Amino acid sequence: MSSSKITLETLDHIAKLARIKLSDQEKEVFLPQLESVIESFDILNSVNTDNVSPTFRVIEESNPLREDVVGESFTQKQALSATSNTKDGYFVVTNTIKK
Amino acid sequence: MDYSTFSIPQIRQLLLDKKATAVEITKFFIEKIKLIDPKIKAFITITEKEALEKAAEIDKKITNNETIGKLAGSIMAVKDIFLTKDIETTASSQLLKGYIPQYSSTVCQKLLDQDAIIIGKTNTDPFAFGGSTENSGFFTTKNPWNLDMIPGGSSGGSAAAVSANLCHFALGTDTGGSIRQPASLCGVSGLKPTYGLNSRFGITAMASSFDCPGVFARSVDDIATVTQITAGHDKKDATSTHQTIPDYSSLLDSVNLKGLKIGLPKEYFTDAINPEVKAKVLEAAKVLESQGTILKEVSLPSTNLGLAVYYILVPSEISANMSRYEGIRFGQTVPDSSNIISYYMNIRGQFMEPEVKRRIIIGTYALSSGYYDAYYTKAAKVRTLIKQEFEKVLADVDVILAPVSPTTAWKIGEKCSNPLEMYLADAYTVCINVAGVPSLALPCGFNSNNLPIGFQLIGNFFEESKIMSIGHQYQQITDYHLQISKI
Amino acid sequence: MKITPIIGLEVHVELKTKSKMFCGCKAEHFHVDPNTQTCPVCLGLPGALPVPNRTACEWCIKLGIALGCTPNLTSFFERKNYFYPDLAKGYQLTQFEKPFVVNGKLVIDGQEIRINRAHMEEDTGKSVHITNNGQDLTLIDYNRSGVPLVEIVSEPDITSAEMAKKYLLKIQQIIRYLGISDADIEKGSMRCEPTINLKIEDNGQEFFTPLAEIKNVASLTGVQTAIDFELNRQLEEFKQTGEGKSKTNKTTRGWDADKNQTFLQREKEGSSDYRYFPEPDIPHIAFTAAQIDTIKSTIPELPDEKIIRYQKDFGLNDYDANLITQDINFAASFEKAIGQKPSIEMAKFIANLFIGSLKTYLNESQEELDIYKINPEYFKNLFDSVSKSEISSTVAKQVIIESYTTGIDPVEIAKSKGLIQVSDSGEIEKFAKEVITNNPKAVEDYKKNSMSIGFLIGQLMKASKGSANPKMAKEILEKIL
Repeated sequence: MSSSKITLETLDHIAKLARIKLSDQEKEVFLPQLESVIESFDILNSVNTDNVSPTFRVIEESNPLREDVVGESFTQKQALSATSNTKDGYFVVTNTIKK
Repeated sequence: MDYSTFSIPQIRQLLLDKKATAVEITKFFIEKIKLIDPKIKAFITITEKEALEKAAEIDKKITNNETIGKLAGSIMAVKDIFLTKDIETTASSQLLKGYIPQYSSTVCQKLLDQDAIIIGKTNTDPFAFGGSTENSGFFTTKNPWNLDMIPGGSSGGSAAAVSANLCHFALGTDTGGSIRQPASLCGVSGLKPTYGLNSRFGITAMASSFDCPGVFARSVDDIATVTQITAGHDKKDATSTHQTIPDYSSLLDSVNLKGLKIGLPKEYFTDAINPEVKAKVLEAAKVLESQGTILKEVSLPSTNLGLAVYYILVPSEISANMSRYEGIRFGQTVPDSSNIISYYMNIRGQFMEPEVKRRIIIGTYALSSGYYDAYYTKAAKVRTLIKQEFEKVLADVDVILAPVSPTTAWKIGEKCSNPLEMYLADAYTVCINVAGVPSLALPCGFNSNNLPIGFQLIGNFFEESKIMSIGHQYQQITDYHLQISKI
Repeated sequence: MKITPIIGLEVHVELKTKSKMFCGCKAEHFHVDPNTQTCPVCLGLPGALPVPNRTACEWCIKLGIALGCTPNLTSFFERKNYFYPDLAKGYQLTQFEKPFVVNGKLVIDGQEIRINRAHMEEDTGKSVHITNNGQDLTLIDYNRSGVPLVEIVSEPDITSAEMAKKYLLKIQQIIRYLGISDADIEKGSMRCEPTINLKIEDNGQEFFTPLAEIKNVASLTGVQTAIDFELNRQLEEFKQTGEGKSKTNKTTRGWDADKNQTFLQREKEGSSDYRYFPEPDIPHIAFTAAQIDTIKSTIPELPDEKIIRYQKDFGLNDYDANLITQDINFAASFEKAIGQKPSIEMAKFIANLFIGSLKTYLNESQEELDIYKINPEYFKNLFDSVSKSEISSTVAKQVIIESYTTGIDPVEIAKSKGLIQVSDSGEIEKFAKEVITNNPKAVEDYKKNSMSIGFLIGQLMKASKGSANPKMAKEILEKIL
């Protein structure tokens, strides 16, 4: 596939998927940078990979399974220790069902 | 006494012989760091209190005639992406400023259990995304050999700390060259082990199928000692190896250089490489040849594809690995947002460094609907080809010798405006991570501006012992690794 | 106009393993203080890595095989990426390309419902929405985060709300037979998301209404009501708008159990872009054929097989066989009670005791049947006594409950209570004379109408405290009168 030019619209869509707010200035800087990086991927198009299976992990040793045993957990205090956004033992965020 | 010139076993012996106490050694390093680090800024956090406590604990063991750990009294610096219990861990990103973990990374914990002393957390590119420490959310580390230059990266702080003798060894991670390249640019030794040799548990993840924790030290000898401790299966990391770990230290002289075949891949010695660097790396090959090894030109034809494979797969994994950084359970947070989507976008927009955003966006793009097969699947297939090439060449020769970085350290700020150019600097390191094999970076001289140059010895899967033995023997007849900058 | 509902079900089942799917935290989370069963892995903290639970994986395969699926000998996990605060890592570990088991089926009322797959994944945390000082907040508890979840995906072969309910009940029954989950819809350990649309044939033309996925259905009756509501709603909507199904107009609707209606939750922006890719933190998982056989060998005889066997070997009718096999413990207790190679008569007799007596008792007392209290010898004794007409079947039904609760031989109970059937004609004659003397009015009635003898027999039985053989009582009364 030849890389299509990345439009501002695409960048906005991707940034939203990734949940990152970009300022107009950032977008201006990023757009040509992304384009040149993605264009550099085109080199792979020349490689014939018809009968090649993909590698997702370089080492595949035997089954990575763990026995079903209960181990240690955090106390509630430990679990909540790294944030101030807590209430009655819960983590707190802005309401998620509000539009 | 200058405790920085001792090897790890020597330091331990000093303690046993009661010629020094761990507290004295620790204080020596703290003083030294206070004096020198303001110039190079290798450390984000100096853990003076914790280090002195640990040292006192070791001294008490000696007083009580209790056994002390294999690393007792050795001073270690830790890249700030390794979580350290009760010690701030920022990953050099504003996202994690102030984050105090409740647990330590497995590798750190194993070293602490052997009585190593953590002296501080070192600077890196945020979450290890970069090759110069210039992307750090806090400051740029300087190369001890020339303060106008970058130390390399991402583990630049760790390399600089070892280079400036501010510790005995330092921990880093190598996802695409982040140990070997700064080791080379700072004139120290560094090992990127086989993928899975060292546990990744408790280290902020960059690209899960690439990340390799490893160690920097002056000598291969010390690297072997530390790797002996860190290597092996961790039940908290399903990708960590079940292989039996050999006794690296006792095997340092085991490889017979006579008749050993060393492959020089022609794709790594093209005109793209700086002539001074090329000359020094070839000189290193000649040194080994003089010991009876056989040099042989080999070919890794897909080398030119490595960067594209790397910069598709790595950002893809990054894009998912970075999703947990949203300020809900840990890390910096923002005041209430109007809704949950804008909450996410605000916090990530505000606290992520530009390079972090850039890589997440590249990865999200590569994985997004309609592009997945063209980018991700294609790159994963080419990854297979690259891996096969290494396996094929390493069936023919014992090890591969190659440059690490096409250039010596560059000026701070020189490549900042062009990320692609920065990515190209990784050309000679990324393929090794794409394949997953181990590689040892060693200093082999200086350029005309007195900047260090390094080379790498690449072995087959889990052949750390072999490349360390060759590296160790190289260091018995050269002294580049012992040179110290005059800061 | 011909209307055919097209219904597919996604069923999520929380496994009752001891520990979570990818970490050692306790999996049972019902009524536990918030955030007390978490660790770096299920909180999605930096550097935490997932290590899959062997038992959970094996149970997923076991369930799949019980649903007629074929196992994939090699499979792997994938990351499903989306942002939501109850999803700690920002991605859910699930199986997309290579689930543990694929291509099964269930037969409901003679109709085959194909099962596309059963795959392994992890549950999310729980959100609680509150208003605090005028601020709308969401509270998050990660105790449920990472609890093992099997998702069973059916093909859209279900054609009515009732069939959907039966399909769910069947799955629930199989899961409980396997003992791998409580599969309790009310408690949330079994959840169901129907995807629905209609095929409308009119004047030789075919239309399909837009797909709707229904969420938050929290009861079994809810599933049926929600589907029926949605089927009607889609039909009405189609009549008004005529809009057909397209690639982009699938919607997600919530179920409001108070108002008994579905409501639009979100319009899908095309399809959601979950950016699935293979989980690099977990190597692929391989099972050998021998390992699969071992898993298979732990599957007990399933209800459908039992029903056939009960009919064939014990002569039970379909209805009774169904009743007994509903619950595996009840069926096992029945099988214990009848012992080895029972006669058809005895098996039927004991089946009647189980259905007509024990089941009623257990329902009323809300108890689980305790298989250890079932003594096959007692059941045999009782059967023998009834066969010899020593004990009436009415008495048998009474004493079996007392025997179950006290552990005493039911025949002994009958004896001690004087409930042994009297077949001695002298004895019965004594009772008959007594009844005739005491009920002159009834005797008069009998003489006018012989059909009214029933009253006198009843009186006789009463006088004998139920011990008289009713057949003999009738004969003797008729003879005297």
